[in-house]
Amino acid sequence: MYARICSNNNTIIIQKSWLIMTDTLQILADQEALSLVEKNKRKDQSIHRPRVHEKIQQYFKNMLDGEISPILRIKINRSLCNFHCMHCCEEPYMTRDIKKATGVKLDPRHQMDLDDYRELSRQADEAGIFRFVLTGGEALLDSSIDQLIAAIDPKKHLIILDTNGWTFDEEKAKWFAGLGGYKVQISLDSMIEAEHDEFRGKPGSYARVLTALKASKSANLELLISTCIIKDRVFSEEFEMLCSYCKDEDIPLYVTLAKPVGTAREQDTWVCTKEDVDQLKYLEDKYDIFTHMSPSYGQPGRCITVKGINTVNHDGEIVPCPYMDLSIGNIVKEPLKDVLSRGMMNSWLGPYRDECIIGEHMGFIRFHNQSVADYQKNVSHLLPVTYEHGFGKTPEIDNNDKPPSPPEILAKDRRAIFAIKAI
Amino acid sequence: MKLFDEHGRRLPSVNDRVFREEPSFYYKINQPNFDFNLILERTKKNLMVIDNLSAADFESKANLLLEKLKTNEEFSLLTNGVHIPFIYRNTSKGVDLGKNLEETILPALKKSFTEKFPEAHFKAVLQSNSELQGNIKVHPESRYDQFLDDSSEGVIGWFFPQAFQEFDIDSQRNQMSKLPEINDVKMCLSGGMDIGAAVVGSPELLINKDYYSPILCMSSFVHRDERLVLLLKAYGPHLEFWCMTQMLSKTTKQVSEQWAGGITIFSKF
Repeated sequence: MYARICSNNNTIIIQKSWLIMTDTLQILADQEALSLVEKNKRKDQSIHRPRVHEKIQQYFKNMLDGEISPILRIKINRSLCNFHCMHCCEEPYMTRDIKKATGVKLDPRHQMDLDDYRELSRQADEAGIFRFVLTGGEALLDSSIDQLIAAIDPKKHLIILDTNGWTFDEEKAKWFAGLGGYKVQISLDSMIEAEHDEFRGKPGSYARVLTALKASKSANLELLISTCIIKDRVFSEEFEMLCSYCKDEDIPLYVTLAKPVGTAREQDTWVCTKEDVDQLKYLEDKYDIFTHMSPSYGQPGRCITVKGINTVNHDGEIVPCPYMDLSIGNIVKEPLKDVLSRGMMNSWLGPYRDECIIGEHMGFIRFHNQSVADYQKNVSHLLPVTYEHGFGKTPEIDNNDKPPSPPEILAKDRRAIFAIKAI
Repeated sequence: MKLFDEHGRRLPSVNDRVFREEPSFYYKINQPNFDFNLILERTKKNLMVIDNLSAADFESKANLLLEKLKTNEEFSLLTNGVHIPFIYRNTSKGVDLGKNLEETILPALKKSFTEKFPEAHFKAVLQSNSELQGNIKVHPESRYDQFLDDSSEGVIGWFFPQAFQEFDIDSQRNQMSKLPEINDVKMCLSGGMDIGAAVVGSPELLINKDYYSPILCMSSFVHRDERLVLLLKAYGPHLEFWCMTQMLSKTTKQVSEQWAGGITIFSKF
């Protein structure tokens, strides 16, 4: 009746029922996260990065137990950046902003060093995590990024680079690939050159992005374009142009929602509505376009706090979303798994919810921004807000005392990942 | 004794595990207008053959059933919540519940939903190797066996999708043993057939351009792997069925502001 995508040792196979079509149910599994391209990539991982492949298989095996394997997004080099973007959520973490606001030359807190990153990589590996994103500011401004990549270990983890593309030419792309880099995420905020350059506060950046895209392809790196939307942009002709460009160039488009944080804290009118987000969900069926909340890895579309993407601040504080300023703990001071467990038991962060709370939920946005304002006024100007002053003040989830056990025969026979049925 | 609040949501008992005592109703369903003619037409077209029921009969019998609830002191507040009339006949009595979902209910949902929203999709996703066929049974406390028995002859009913808004799945199930029975009104914890039939008749139920809607838990249905639950949810403008884990961690089950269990009342037509 329907096919199932199964993992079998180190290869991905599709059972023969794939071919059976009936009037009622057929499987269109290739439409989803496990597209043929994706399967090929995973097969490739089994050869080039067997440990990554093993962790992916382990994740699917343990998914029903609620196991998570979030991306860890590492902010490096004190978030140094060569751009001044209008929508930057990172500005309050940059030395230039800290200096302006407090007069101190540098963030005085302990900054994670290579030993700390090595230990983080080890703990992440142990927890089944397999994706690290290097970000800033502009990550490529860090002159010791090669040592950092080695410390994280590209054999154990997929290393993904966020960049504005300013310096990412052919030479740099080959260099990154040579270090074991896996993917590049390049920011492009408008298909209209002048608009992109203005939004990014950097004349000439549009042209550099196009160069960076070409260079990434030449270096055979995985690639996506990252774009930030403000309210109503998804309905614009320009956005349709960007979607078409990505389709023509065969580059996935990753869409982020502008959040009222960082330099955009006062920009309430930028906040996307459900109508914007629904339009994106229509477009997902038409283009290779996705958000951080799109269905992936066998999970439905949902808010990704803790379970999807966590940011590692320079001082080790873990922020459970790329766009928040509230921490759930510090991995220099306590184990990563304890920090993530705490996050999952927080009532805002762990339980299932469809919407992006920092991008759409005005109740959460008010709580978030008030916590930041109170913390900066009464405790410290330096973000993020520590757990006890932010999320620690919100309810935790009650525990259960009777977790169900999987039926023995199913557990023993569990090989499949997930099945998608269409009619 | 007061059983429901003014929104028609069950007041949690001491041992219930809920996201919060008083729900936020951030996740909303707009009360649909009752177009009995259209619901009957959609049900006939997409789900089953019904020869012996007119729209007028459907309306009068449904209203009579609802009236009985409204005049019951303990249950009248339930009718303040969103409620949707439906018709269902289980033409395959004795057929495996999972097979019925796969072969009848889900295809009918797809047809009805995409006819109403041609640009949207309906999708069914099963996490892991969680087959439906042969793996679904009725929860013993749910009173759903009575629904299955009566529906072999055909039932008219009302689905109250937010009666257990923010309750965890176990608490939804446990609640049914705490609710008193009412003369002349049969009641069960909502499951796959009644929710399916209600959404076939009113395919716009979960679609709203301004608000996120609750996720409808088919909590009467228990998967053989009890970590798994069956859900119907909107994904923006789309409609999706999921058989997915309810585990937040290895030892903790989901308790979500967005998940909602329902109560279904019914009578034979």
